[in-house]
Amino acid sequence: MNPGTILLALAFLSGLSGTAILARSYLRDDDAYLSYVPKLTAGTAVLLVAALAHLTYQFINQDYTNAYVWENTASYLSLLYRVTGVYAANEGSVLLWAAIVAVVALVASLSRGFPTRRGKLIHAFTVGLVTYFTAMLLLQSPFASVRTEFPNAPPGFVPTSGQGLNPLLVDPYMAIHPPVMFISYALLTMPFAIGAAHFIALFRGDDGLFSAWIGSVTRWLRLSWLFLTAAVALGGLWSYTVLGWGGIWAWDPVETAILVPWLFLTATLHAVTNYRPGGRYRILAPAMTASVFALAVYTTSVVRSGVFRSIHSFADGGIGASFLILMGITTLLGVVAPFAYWLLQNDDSDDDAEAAAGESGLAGWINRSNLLHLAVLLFGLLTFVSLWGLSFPVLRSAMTGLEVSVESRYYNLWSFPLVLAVLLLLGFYMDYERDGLRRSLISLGVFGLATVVGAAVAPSETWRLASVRPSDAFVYQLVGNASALSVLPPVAYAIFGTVKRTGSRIAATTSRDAKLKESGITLIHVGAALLVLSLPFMYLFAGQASVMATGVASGAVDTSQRDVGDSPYDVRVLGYEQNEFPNNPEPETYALSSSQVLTRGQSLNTSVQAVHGTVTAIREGPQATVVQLDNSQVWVGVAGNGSVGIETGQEVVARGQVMWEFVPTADAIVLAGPQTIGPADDPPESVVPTRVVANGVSLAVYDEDGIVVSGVAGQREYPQQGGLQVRDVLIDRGPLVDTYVIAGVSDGTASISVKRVPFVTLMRVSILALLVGMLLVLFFDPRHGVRTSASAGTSDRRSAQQTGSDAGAVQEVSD
Amino acid sequence: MRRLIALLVVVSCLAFVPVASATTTVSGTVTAEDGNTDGARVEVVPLTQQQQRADGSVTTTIDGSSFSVDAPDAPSYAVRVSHGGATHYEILQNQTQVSMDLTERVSGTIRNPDGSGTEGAVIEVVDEDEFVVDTYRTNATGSFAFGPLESDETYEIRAAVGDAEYRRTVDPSTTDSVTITAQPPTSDTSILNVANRSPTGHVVQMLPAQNASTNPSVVETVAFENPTDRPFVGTVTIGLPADASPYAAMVGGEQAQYRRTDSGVQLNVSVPANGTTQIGAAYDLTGRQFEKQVVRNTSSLAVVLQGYNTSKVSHSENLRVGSSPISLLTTTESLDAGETISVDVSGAQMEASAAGAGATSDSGSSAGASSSAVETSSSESGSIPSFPGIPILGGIFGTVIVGLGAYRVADAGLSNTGED
Repeated sequence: MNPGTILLALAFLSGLSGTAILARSYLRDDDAYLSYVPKLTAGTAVLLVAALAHLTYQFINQDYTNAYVWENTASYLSLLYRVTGVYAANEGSVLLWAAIVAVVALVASLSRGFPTRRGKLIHAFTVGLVTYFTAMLLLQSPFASVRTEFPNAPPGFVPTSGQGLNPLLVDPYMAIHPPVMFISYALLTMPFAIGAAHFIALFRGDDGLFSAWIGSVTRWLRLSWLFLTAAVALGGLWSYTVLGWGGIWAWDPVETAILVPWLFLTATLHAVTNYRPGGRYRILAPAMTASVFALAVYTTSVVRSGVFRSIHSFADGGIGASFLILMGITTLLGVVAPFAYWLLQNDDSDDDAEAAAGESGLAGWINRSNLLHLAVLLFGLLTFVSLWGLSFPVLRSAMTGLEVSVESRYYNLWSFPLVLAVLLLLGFYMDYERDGLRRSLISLGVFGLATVVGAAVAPSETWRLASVRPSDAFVYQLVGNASALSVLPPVAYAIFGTVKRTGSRIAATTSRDAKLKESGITLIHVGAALLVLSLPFMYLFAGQASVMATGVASGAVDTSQRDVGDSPYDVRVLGYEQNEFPNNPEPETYALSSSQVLTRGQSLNTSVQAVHGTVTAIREGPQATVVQLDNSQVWVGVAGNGSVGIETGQEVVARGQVMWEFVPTADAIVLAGPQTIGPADDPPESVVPTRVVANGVSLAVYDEDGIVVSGVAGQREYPQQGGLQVRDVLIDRGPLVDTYVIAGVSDGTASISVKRVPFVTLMRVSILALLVGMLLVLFFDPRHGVRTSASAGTSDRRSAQQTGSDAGAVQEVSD
Repeated sequence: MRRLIALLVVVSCLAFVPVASATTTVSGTVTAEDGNTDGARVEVVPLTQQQQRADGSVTTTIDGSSFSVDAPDAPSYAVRVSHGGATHYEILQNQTQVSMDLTERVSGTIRNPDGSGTEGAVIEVVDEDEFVVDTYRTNATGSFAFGPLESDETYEIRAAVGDAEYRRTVDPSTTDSVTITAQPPTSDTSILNVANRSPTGHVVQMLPAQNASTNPSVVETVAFENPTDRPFVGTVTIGLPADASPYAAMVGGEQAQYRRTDSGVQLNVSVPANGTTQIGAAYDLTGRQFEKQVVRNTSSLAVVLQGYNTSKVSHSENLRVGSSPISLLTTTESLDAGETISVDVSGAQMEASAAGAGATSDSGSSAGASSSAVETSSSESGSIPSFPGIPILGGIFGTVIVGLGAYRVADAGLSNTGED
């Protein structure tokens, strides 16, 4: 039992008892012991955060008694990347996730409490989820002893150096991307709990709780959308710099896995806006609220646990199987329960359309509600495209035993028309709100026609979305041959409609909060339109050209300016640099001193260790030379006769097997060889292995107008981690295009590629607009904003009344 | 209930898609002379465009004379039918129907030069796709028989007697019987010719130096053809330029032992009667110049110079710049034994190989540049399309501003007329 495991075990007990009390209290409608629950919730959160802090401390302190720490860090890493190691693998990620969910549960219970019976059920779900995560952590602990990795080592054995961090994670974006993502997933548990509790209440003959909690649901959904958007964006930017894809997106399964909940969350936000208690969406909105989290768990399981790649091997247990169980539970509560309720409902009871059909013809069909309905439907379809792409290989492999990979053009070509439809709908919706049916139909016609014409007009082959093969399916032929010009009218229409409506709305209201919220809504929708604008051009108009520079290492490099292929770029190679890490580190950081060897004693026996010390005696024998360190009982034996090239008084390092009480004259002898002993100021490679070799050329890239970017580009190689290579790229972030320089340096030759990636800055700006917009909406929404709810009080009853009255007054401020 | 039924229909459709879209039905008929192929085993192997195995194979048996099986999607398939101890192959490209007609037979005898049967000769029947259909080991009479074989295919009979191999091509629909006389092998190299095959039987490939301080190395391959009925078993020498140091050799596609002699690289080679064998050697040059004497009469020879600019290469007059898409030199006319060819690549190595330069610069050198650049950089398109960023943004925001302006004017107009 180590402190970390104790913290986890206590957190588990505290969470379990909290869940049990809440469940009992809900089932029996009996408030006995309920006063302990806030303390238990707080206790669980504090214990889990303490466990996370403890693990982080172990990482910072390089405590290799912990197997997880030993696997995921090394001493050459800087402080930031030691902390990053905490969530470099499954166990740490789950701990981070659990700690954040615990904090979310705590905040929820503090801000709202659980005065009603249903409130207890919601709280039981969130605390129960925390408990489940904690149980997972106890089964596959991030605090396991390093002895699980070295079952044959003597008691007390501790390695002196760690395995190191996955090189791809040594990046500033990766330091913040996982926490942001787990925060968003953790935030999604609240809507999930509310949605699931709603359906359980419905099954028990109640009228559900969604209408009373609509404010909470909206805030939690918006907050998770904010973090999820940031997480998707950070992940994309990470792959842009580290993987050298020349774009932010490649439909990698891990990326798709986080996009699927994002799309569905966006759909859910629109569905919740369309929700009216007892009326429209009274099943769909709560159902979607509950299923976002289930979807997030599903996609995480698909890509993270490896369950699907080896669907026949549940036997390994651990996090893979635990995720499957979690997936089962969340699917049951978040998807199956709503579906079952919907199926059991009377078929004829939900015909909003008929109610609306009182008005005649087209005007009867086109109204805010139906347009929002269409938006939810389109986002649902977009989600389905990605979800199907992610699941298809799994399904196919399960049914036919054949592996298959889904090409990125499947996602691109199916999503493209849907995205255009979303934008046209957005423009029309905004236009309709502002100017009524007749005018908005005219402009929809104009922009719709322009879209179709744009799809048919390709100024050059570059504009076509994909190169299609004659054998392709009809949809691929049709969409693949379309021109990227077709994206311009929908984008223009969406921006036009949004800005126009905002103008009139801001003018119409005097409330500062309402004005800010409207600005937020505008920023989000304009940002989304600009994001859609940037994506096709980022890929279609990207290009690269390469040039080789020889003789780089020997200094014989030609430093004149030269053409890069056919491109408008010139490049000048200025020099070459190679760096190795760790570079002559202090001996204390990687080797044991003679006194440490003596302190650890027997536990070091037969393990291979590096030692350092001052030479106090040298005895040369016919078979070996022995060297005494620091006038102590620690000797280094060097096999072979003859000089080992060291002198008395010199500071040395050596590496070899430690033999405890092996010879009568010394306590410990380190069996080294001529290659594994050397002076401490110039240690041999075999004693201090090089962890990172960075090769780079310093270069400058020019275009017609002069210098574009200069700096070092190259790659970092991690010889101790399978020779994995990570590129160091050089990026100039221009207003219209990014200039992206990759250099592969080997054998004195640098292969320099210059890429030009259009509209990356536009994309950055649009993401910023999404985030700032959502922040404004989250805080200043007069109805469900954080500010509003703080001032309006937060009890169940109060917000129930509030929502009830709002439902009558309907939609003057909703989006 | 309506909802439940609708849901079931949707779910079953979804479940059906991965199965249906993943497979292709491959079917066909196999008939034999006696009409009975019932129960024969059929294996369908999905292949990639490059004829590599793409996926796991599926097997079925023939029912009556036809079969049908669902195989994983693939651009082409190999169908193997096992019948009567032989295995028949068919490669399907862009089709999924096979029709095999097993009605022909071939028999024959392997005779020693004295007329007696050759016992223990291993006979293979190889089809047009180089698949071994059947093998047979002759008895004391030296006779063999194969069948039934496909009626629309020609086969090669390959008989191995000791080290020596004899080949004969037969069309079973016109020839029923073959007699191969196992002439004793010869070690006389004069019977061998350099094969006059396409593109050429003798290729010298100069590999660019890694960097400025090292010299190019050369991979030289020669295809030997034996037009006689006597197999060749003996040693063959590939001549080397002076001071070249060999490091590897190849016979028939496999790494082989070699001996360095004064005249070059000596290899143990067996060339079947009426067949060809390709041999090769790889060696480092000591300078930037390649010069050697041709050992045999050669109808055509190619010097492949990928990574070099052929216009900067100086070479002997019996070579000229070739017109193929890769950069190479070819002989102007056939070479006689003893003629010297020389190529000097000093200063011709492309320092900067630009991807996609192929479109602009002239003749073969450009393609050489682009193909070598592909090895060092990613295979994306090598050009940067011009990007009309300003017009795109201008178009978007222009439309928005003009639209807003138009509405404002229209609104003003409406309020003036008192309509709104």
